[in-house]
Amino acid sequence: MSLGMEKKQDFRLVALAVGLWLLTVVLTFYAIVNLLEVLMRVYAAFWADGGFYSPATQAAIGLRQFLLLPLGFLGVAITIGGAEYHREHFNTRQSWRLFARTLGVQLGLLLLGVFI
Amino acid sequence: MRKILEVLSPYLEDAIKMVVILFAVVAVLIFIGQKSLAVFYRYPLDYGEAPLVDQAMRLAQGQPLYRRDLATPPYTVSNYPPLYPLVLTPFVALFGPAFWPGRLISTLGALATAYFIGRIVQGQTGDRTAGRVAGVLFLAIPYVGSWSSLARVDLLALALSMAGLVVLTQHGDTRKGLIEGALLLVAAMYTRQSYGLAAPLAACVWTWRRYGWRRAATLVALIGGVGLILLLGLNLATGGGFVFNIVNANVNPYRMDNLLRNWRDVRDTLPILLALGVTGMGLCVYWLLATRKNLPPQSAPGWMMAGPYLLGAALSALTVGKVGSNVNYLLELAAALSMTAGLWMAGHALPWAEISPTARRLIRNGMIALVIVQLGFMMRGTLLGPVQDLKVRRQPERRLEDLFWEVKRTPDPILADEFMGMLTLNGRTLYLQPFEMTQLANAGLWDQTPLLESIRAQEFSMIMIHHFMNYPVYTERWTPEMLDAILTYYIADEWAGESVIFRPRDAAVHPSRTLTACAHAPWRLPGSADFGVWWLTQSLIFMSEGFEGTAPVYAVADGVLMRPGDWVGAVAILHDDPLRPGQKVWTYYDGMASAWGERSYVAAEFPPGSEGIPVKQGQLLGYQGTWHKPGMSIWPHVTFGVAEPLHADGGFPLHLLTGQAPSDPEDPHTFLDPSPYLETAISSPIMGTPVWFPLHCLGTAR
Repeated sequence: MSLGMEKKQDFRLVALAVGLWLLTVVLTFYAIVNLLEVLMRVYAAFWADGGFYSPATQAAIGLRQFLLLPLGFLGVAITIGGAEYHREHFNTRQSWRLFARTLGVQLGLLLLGVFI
Repeated sequence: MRKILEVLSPYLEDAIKMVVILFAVVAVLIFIGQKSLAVFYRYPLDYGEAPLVDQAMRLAQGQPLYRRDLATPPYTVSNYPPLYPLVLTPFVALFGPAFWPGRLISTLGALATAYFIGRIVQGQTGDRTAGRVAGVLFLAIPYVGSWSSLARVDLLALALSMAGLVVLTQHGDTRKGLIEGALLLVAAMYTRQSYGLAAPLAACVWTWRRYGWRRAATLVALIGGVGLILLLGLNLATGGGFVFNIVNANVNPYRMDNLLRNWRDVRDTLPILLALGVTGMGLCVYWLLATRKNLPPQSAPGWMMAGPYLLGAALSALTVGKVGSNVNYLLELAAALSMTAGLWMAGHALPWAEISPTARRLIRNGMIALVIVQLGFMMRGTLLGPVQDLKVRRQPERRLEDLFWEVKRTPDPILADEFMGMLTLNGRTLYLQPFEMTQLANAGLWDQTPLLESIRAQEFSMIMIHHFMNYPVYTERWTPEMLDAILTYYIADEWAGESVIFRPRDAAVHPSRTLTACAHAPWRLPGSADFGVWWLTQSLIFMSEGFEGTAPVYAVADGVLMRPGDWVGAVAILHDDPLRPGQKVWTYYDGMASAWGERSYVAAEFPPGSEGIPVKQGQLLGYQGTWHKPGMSIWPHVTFGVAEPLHADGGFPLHLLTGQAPSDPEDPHTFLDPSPYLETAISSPIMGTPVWFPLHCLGTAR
């Protein structure tokens, strides 16, 4: 009976871990888009000095294009690397903490977009 | 579900911590961004910067700072004790009279203050995250971000006072620690005198509760003794000038509306910090009472320091109602609120003796979540407020460069207000600090007669009067007598960086101030132009002195007036054209409304919808206002234009105002050059080219 309970608990934990991983994957992409938006808005707040074709706006657009690639790689790393890490460290303190921190950063980035 | 919550709940704090770290990083980046715009900007960013650089220049030249006798020039006062100018002096000697060293000192002062707040919170609570976030909170407060960009005394004073509190909380049990702490607090007071309240009060209360009344009394004696000895020494050395400069010269009138405006701003900007501060004060009172009754005297939680400090800072902040005050009066309050928020985040010394770890964690996470929201609002506020203000201040950089060279070419003496810094940048000491001397004159502490005589004798080759677009700030900086003398004996000659440059009036060229019409002109002038005339978009803008709604606007000639229903601050009059007999001509008067068009200054007898009302030359049409066009206000003015009637029906060519194409392409009306009608000279008669010029007549004035 206890073996059956453990298996059931394990299944719930596996489902939880997979669910959290999927959540981090989805949020990664939202977070990247949001981060780029936030960067653009901060850049505009400090340096924008004219319309769309002003040097500052064009520089901001250039910056966004430049950041897109490294942030894309980061997204892939979080997705694949995260899956590997959580598989290897399943149901350990480190794994749950990493989930918490990853989701913290992602939700933080989404929240940042609300204010900035 | 319960199982899932059991697994995840211990890690909730990790997630919240990541959010707050992320917000803190962005807040610090915004702070750094502000400094990147401000610190090495060459020109003045604030009225108060140049006097401090001037004081450092005087110290470098071995001149006295605190003169008691102000009967002779320079008419300057040193409002603050000497520490900041003393720190600035070596930089001035080494790098010249630039602003960046002062701004760098302020920036470092802000960073040091944030660090010390963190040290105090961490020292009291043992919570590193709470300490760090409290420090970042301080940097994120919009007042701190904006003021630490300026070469002003406040952030150095705040950093010194915080350093004193750190030393006292960590080493207050030793004699050396007590002396060092007291000296740092005195140093803060000798940087800015108002820092003699909050930090010393907090230090004394905390020392009293932590180490007993004897040690607290020693601290009071140290602070009071050293402070008093320095005061007496400096006052004796300056023949009473020290007290006169830092006390008497600071007693400006108090305006309750200033206080209320600032209070509303603090309430809207820092609502969560204020709530945490008020409840923190409650905890301080609780602990004061509790330790008196139940706890050993050595028990002194951080609230014993934060509470009195907040109380002192709040009392200090009340002086923000003084005329000429600014957000620097709120910096101690900002530090105090950051400190109390830090203590709350650490869940420090909560009054419930038996609180469960879960409840403690809940309170702590809840507080951090509140702080995250507050950080978000402050970052947004900084980006929308101080950062945009800074950009606006930097906007006229090219014109300021012209002004810099203009000042360089112009011989001494020169008077200036907002851009006194152009003088110090040119290595010249100040002749007059207009705001401070005006306050002294208003208080009956200074006789302005010698200065007025110098103005009337046209001893000054140039006078620069600054004028923010939405408020005639010069009315607080110059006495009415000074303004009257300047406007009578000098003429508004040029405009640079929102400052009007006055040069001595040459009676042969420039009409008198009371001019109503130029000789031989068929028409009279529509209004006064004490602050010059602007040729803009094919019309003449007459700029008057004073507040909106005070300078009259008159009909230039007899005619028939109309005012369509949607004209808030404008009227138009149809006249017989004096230059083309038998034809008609329209004159157009605009700008007779408040900045956003909510108040009209057009005379009551011409309500919206008026048509065919006969008016006489010189009849009052209304008063100059600040409305220029939707979304843009300028100084009190009237916009005056002259236009041909529409050929079809003699009506007013409305398309000239809207910028739309005329309904009849064969009838391409434009505004006419008004100078032949007024006999005034327009320096650059290129239609549509904006140019600022002094009002002068082609013939003789009448």
